[in-house]
Amino acid sequence: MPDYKMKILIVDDFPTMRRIIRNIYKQLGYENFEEAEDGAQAYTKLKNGGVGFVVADWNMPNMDGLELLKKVRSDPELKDMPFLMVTAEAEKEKVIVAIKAGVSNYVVKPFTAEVLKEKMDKIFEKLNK
Amino acid sequence: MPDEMEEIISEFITDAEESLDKIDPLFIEIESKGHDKDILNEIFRSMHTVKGAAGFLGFQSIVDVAHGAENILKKLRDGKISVTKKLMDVILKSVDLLRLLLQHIKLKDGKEEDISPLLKELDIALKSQESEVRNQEPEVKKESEDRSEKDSSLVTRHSSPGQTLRVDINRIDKVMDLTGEVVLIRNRLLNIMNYLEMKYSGDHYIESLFETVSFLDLVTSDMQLAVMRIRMQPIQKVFSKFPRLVRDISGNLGKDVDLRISGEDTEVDKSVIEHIGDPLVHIIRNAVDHAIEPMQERRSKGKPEKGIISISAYQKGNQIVIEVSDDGRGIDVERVKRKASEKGLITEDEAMNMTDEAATNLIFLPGFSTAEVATELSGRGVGMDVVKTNISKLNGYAEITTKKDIGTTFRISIPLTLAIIQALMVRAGSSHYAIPLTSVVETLKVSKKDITDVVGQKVLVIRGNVLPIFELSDILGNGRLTDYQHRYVVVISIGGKKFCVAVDELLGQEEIVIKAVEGIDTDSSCVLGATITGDGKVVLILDLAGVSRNVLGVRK
Repeated sequence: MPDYKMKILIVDDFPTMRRIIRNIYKQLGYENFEEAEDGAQAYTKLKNGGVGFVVADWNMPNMDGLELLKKVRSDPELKDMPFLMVTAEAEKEKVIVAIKAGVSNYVVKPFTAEVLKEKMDKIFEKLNK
Repeated sequence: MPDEMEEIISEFITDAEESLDKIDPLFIEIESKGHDKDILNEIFRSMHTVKGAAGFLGFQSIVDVAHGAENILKKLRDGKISVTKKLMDVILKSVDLLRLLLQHIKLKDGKEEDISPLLKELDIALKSQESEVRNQEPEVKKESEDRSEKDSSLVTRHSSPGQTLRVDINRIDKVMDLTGEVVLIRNRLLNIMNYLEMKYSGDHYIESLFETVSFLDLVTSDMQLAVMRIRMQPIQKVFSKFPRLVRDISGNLGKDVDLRISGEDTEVDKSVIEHIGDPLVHIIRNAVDHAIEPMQERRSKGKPEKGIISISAYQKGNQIVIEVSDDGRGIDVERVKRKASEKGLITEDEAMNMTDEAATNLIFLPGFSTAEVATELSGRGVGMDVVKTNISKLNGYAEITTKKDIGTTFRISIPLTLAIIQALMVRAGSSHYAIPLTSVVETLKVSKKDITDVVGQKVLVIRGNVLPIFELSDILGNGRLTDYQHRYVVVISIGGKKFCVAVDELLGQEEIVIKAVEGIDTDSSCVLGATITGDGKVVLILDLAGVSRNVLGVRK
């Protein structure tokens, strides 16, 4: 049983995308969200605490998703934060880079609620092992 | 859930349009700066985000077009191919098509566009460019070397907008409307307060009531300003379309034009953003088409080959001023006069005695279009009168200054807010009227003998200036004048023209809220709307642009 009260930080520079992702999470039963429009803003919000999960777009201004991921993984306070990366197409090289940087999982957009659920389940399965 | 979906879609359209709007000016920047990785990446990202969201919402044609453009943009960004006019044209075309597709979704008109020709074009453009690159390897490398120097300056490009909240415009308008009501009530309170103060001066409770009302007065003014600011947006939104416009037109005409924009941060009311675009496009199109001379002609005049058009916006008191200047050939005053008299818009005599300034303004007359210089670009039967009409709808006015071979400047002034204005309250006969204060120059009290008659037109001489004078009752066609010894005169200046309006009494200055009056043809009636005054009266607000057209209107 996932923790539906967990606060999910949605990071995307495009407001509609944040709303779409939030909406899909809502369909899965999650209800606690926070948003950031780029990696830099997301990092500040993460440092403020309370966030239990990060879902981030790759391509963003100021600080992109990969930079954010690296920063999170190298921060002792945040290094275990579950991190789902949203990528545009299944670009193999990019996915490998993200995995090397310690991403928990990745999802290719556009994705459905079912796909997202699967990814979430996998992430938490791994985490609880 | 359907409602939620609807909301998401309408949000997507707004966001996507915003993203696309960003692309045009960035492209123009690329065109002048050449290969710049950061700008290219920004364009790529705009396209990419639109594609991403469209994918979720199932707008496949948007995904396809954006994808095609994105492919090229990605290669451009990575320096694999270089920027050419051909590539940019096809990408700009995609942007236009995407806008059209969004429009269809917005209007729910069910129309579909055939996107396959453009997809093919994108594909061909990419392939031909790739093959060219293979032959010119060294040059590409050189171009990509100088990208790094721009890196640091680009961080500031994304000024984070901070916390924002998207609110339905109707809700804001409701607040605006209610604020208007509060202003009206405040005015009434102030009015009552004045009587109470006179009647019971010295009374302790009246004193503290007075204090409270004064405080309410201050807070109401602040609130009004704060509410107004909610509706304000930087004029950048309008200006950002112009680089592309100038590029396209000047490209078509084989002219070289440098567009300089300043003051794009100036904030104006949302309705100004919505209505100022068309008039400005018209003025700019005219400037590129007619004003800026062809290169050869410029050379022979000793001017630089590259023409300059500058657009600027700034706030001046309660007005927003937008200026469009060019360094072209200037408006030929004699030709304008000739044209106007040929078309019967003015008489020969009038043409002879007309100042250059007045003659220049003739181009704003309906029916005036310098057909002999109109080309297929500008001469579409839509004349400058449309510009003027649109601007008067915003309670603004336009002025022109022009000098032969030096250039022309259009100056458009628009009040900061459309809903609440300062007005001079006057009485004519038994009715009260409100005159917007922005166009009032001064008020005077004159005796009957000061008003003289010149060839059937009553005039008043003020400090050596002869100004025509009209009775407000005559203009509005209500009631006969009683005999009088002296008159109160309001001197009005609108669109560079001055005239006097005589009234029976000046009642004072008041802040009024404009309420639309249904069933009145605002174009011909000289009435802008109505308001409720401090003492509870309903008063008509005069539309000075209409009055001016009416009294100074050129005989047919």
